[in-house]
Amino acid sequence: MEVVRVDNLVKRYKELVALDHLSISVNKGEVFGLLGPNGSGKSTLMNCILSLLKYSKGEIKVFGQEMKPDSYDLKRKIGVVLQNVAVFDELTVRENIDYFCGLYVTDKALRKQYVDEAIKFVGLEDFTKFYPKKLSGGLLRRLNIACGIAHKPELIFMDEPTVAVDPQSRNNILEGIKELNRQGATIIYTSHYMEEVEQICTRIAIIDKGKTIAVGTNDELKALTPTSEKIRIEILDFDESKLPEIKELPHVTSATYEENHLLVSCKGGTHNLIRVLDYLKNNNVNFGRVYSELPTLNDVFLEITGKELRD
Amino acid sequence: MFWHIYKYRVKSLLKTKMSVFWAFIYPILLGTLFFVTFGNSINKNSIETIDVAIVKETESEKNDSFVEMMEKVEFEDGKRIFNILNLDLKSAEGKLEDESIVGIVRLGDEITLEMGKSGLGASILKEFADEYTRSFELIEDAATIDFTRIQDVIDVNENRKEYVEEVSLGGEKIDTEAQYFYALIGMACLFGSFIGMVLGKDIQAVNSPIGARKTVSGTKRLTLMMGDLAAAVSIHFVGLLLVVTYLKYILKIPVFSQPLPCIAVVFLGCVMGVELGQFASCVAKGSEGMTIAISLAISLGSSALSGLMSPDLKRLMDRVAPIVSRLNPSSAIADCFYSLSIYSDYTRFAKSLTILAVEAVVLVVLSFFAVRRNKYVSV
Repeated sequence: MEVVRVDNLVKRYKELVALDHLSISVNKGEVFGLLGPNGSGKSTLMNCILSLLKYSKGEIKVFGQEMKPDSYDLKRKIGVVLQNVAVFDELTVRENIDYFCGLYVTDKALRKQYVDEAIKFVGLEDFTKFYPKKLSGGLLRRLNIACGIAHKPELIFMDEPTVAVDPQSRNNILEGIKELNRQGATIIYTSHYMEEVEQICTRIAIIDKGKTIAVGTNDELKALTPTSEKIRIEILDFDESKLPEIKELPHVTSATYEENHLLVSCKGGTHNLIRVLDYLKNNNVNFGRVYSELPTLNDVFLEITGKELRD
Repeated sequence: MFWHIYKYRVKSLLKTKMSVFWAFIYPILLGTLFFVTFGNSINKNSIETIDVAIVKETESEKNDSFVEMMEKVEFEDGKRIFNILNLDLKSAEGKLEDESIVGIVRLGDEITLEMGKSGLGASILKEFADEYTRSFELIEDAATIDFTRIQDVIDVNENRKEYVEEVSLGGEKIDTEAQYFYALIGMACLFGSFIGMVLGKDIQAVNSPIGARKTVSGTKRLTLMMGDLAAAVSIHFVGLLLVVTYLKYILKIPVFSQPLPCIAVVFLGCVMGVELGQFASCVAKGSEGMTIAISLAISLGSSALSGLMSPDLKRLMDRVAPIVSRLNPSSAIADCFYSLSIYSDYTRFAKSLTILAVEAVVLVVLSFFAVRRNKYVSV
């Protein structure tokens, strides 16, 4: 079942085209990642879907209905975790969660239960009476998440929720997102951290300059790269005349020698590493450390756009 | 939902330094400052004798009677209301110009007044002259119609005169300095705009992350706005009541002699002030500097034009732009208090209160329409 559908969306800021005929579709139960460099249009897309931003052209449907600023019935099914922490400095952790939950849930007893569950979910049990200013960056992010999801929404938008968060809190947050998904929530997750997106998203749209450049599962996207394995071997004095022979090995697409490292790219096949190491051994080439790297989403991005994701 | 929003907004505002300062501390500070400034003259509960020049252009019984009456009328404490100076027109005009007299009474075929600066003295002189003319014409008319009933008319008129003198002029203890405190209360009401700015900031996605979160929530904008507004007005209103209590019972300033109407004015003033800030924030859309500039310009400008800093400015506005002067919220608040102090009936008070109420409602409506169904160009 389609939860969000965006067709041909165009958003302009004067001369700048922020979203350029962008289309995506998110199905129920997915953790859908929007991956792209800063300024690629991820947050703009999210804000358009949430009906915060005007857009020039296109159609947006949420739960099969057009999303408008006064679509309160739809909004009640949605939770939003914004990139900027949106809490009241003057209210405690519990009061903040209760306030925002109360904008969706009127039943007091139910709300209390939801608030307790949200506090437990983000691990803020020991901080319920703390004011936001007393919380560390990571705890503050967790509070921000709790405020967005306490009312148990069916659809959750998360806009870079792990920005400026320590590794421990980041893992906690990512595990929490997977748990929310297991509980039935559909999640749209934006990030420019490809590792996060790879880790938690079931389907990913890569966005650049306001366009969707690729959509698919992690494996489907990686299949778009010409390289399925990168082998890096430390060799101090390598005879570069051997490079053509290495290139002739099965499934090897390229071989180079740079800065005391032999770099071999392979496409498809199995046991590529063993084959390369056998060649070196048979040719009496001494080597040090050996690395075998699978392609990343950055490689996909590099392949399609010709630039690094973090450029 | 409304009470949920109300409860948490009260909590957050009470912990916001800026709102506590503007709602509670600032008016008390300013009130104390005013008290120190006017300390010597407060609590006299009377006004000074009014210097008036009489220019006799025609001898008549009516004119003699008018002068005689002016010499007789007294305040409650036995002090004469008018100090009469018999002058020729040129000297009288000179004195009026240098403000050593309040007005000139020209006694010709008609009684005509030339007034200097408007103020309490001028109001009393005008009221007195009007009252005398009305009474004289009434008796004259009665004599024309039925000469035999003239005594009845005089009797009725004398009773009415008694009523007018006791209630309109003597009924209220008039303290001119108290007027400054009324203006101060007016300004304190409008400074609720600083609390209103917080509300405006938190209702729009373009203004703050909290605004964005509230905008995407499942609660209607009107409910969000009204809950916040009610909370802010409650706090500001309680703050001002504390200020008034401080002025009345600690500093012993004779304000709020008619508590209920005065409370109504303060309440509407609070709505007006808070809503002013919210409206400015809604109109400025994202620019905090612009919001503060609009709020300050309106609240300070309004207070200045209402005569708080210089009574001349108020008179100038009354003359040059009477409609603007009438619609000025600070003027309306001050005028409500002034009317309660001076006039025995509530007509003028009701008019000013109505202006204030209508302006407050209009701002609420405009603010709502400014944020209703809003989508932004950028957030």
